[in-house]
Amino acid sequence: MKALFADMFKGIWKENPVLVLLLGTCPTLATTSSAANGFAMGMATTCVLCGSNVVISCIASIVPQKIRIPVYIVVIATFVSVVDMLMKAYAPPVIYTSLGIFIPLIVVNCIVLGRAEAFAAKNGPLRSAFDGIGMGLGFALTLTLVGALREFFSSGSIFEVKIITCWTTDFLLVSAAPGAFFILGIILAVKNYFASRAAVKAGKLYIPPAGLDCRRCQICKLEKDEEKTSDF
Amino acid sequence: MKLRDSENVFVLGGFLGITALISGLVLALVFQLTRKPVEAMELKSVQSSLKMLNLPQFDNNPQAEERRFLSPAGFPATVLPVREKGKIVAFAVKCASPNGYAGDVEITAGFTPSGKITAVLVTRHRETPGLGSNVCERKFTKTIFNIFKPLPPGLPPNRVLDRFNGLSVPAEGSWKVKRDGGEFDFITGATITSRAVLEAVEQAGKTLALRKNEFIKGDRR
Repeated sequence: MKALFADMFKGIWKENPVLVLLLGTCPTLATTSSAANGFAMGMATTCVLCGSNVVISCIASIVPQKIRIPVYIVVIATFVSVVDMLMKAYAPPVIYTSLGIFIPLIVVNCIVLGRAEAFAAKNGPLRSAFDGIGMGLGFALTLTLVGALREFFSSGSIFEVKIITCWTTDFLLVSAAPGAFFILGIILAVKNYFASRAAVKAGKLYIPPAGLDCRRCQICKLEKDEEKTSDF
Repeated sequence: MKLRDSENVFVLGGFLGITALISGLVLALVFQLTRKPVEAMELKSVQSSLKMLNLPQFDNNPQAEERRFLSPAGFPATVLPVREKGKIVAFAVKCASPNGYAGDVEITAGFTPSGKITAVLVTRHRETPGLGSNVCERKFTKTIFNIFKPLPPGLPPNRVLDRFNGLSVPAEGSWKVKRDGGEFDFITGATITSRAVLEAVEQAGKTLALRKNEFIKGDRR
């Protein structure tokens, strides 16, 4: 049981799909114009992720290796269509129309296929379900955070409730796509700053995940880091 | 040979086909299950927009009698007659202009039988949030101080859309925004959206003026 929750919580912080694995950046940037939109997108993805993870982990042992990706995509697309139809029927029309094309596009969200390949295909249905829920919640929380920050900085409100009453003119930069890049970048920087500080305190060298490691990137050289490495 | 390592094209194709078949069956089932709620949802959204148009009391189902036309400029327009005891008391007209900043801008306008506008709503749009959407949206802002208070009744105000109230669309000539030498004052930075809304309302009025008699004829029976 403890292991199951570990599977779940790693998705929320330690292996957060957006902040650590840097997957699913497209919906993160495109659908977070408000906190409510980000939350709805995150919950829709969570449902798809959980469902597809369970089914894929059940069929993984019989799917021929050569066609496993198309089969997984068919399974994922089925769940996305089901979620799309359910949202059309039961979600508030405002949410459904503002998410629009991005619900069908969950099919190509690399978090879903990524978890199918990396986790569900190798683990049992129960663990896969918890992994899907955790990853989905991590995604939903991040999207809500980005959406809330964008909504706050553009119009002074969160979840459509004005926090600063005298804020009447919208700040368009943040509510448009470039603002999403800025906000996501700042969140990533803050997260990495705290992660590296915690690592230094514990007496270890902070090693960012491969995709975020500055030292493997040729754009800028971090000589300080190289000096530190020689100490260890 | 195990299925997992199979390389036979027919086995692979068959497997993929069976997967697609199962997924198709699941989708068909869910589609059947959600068909009624989806229809109910669509009906509800039309009815709630009709309620907001400041129309007089009515007892028919305007949606059941709707008829689709093309407006003089070729925009799709739908006329919904609103009746009380079989007599027409108002019209609701839906009209979509394709000239928005991001795709269609669909308005729904209420008209009195003589052609005066009672209220205008934008029912579908994808304009830039915070810029073009200011022309389109009617919303009461909730603030932290009145978060638990119920919303005031009636139609939320919108400076641009309220400008149409009480006007009739002229039979000749067309409406223009101030920037194009007309008399309609619009929001700076959202001229394209403003033009699209203006155009759609104008086309809705013109369509109604042309087709009104087809509905009133049925009244005299």
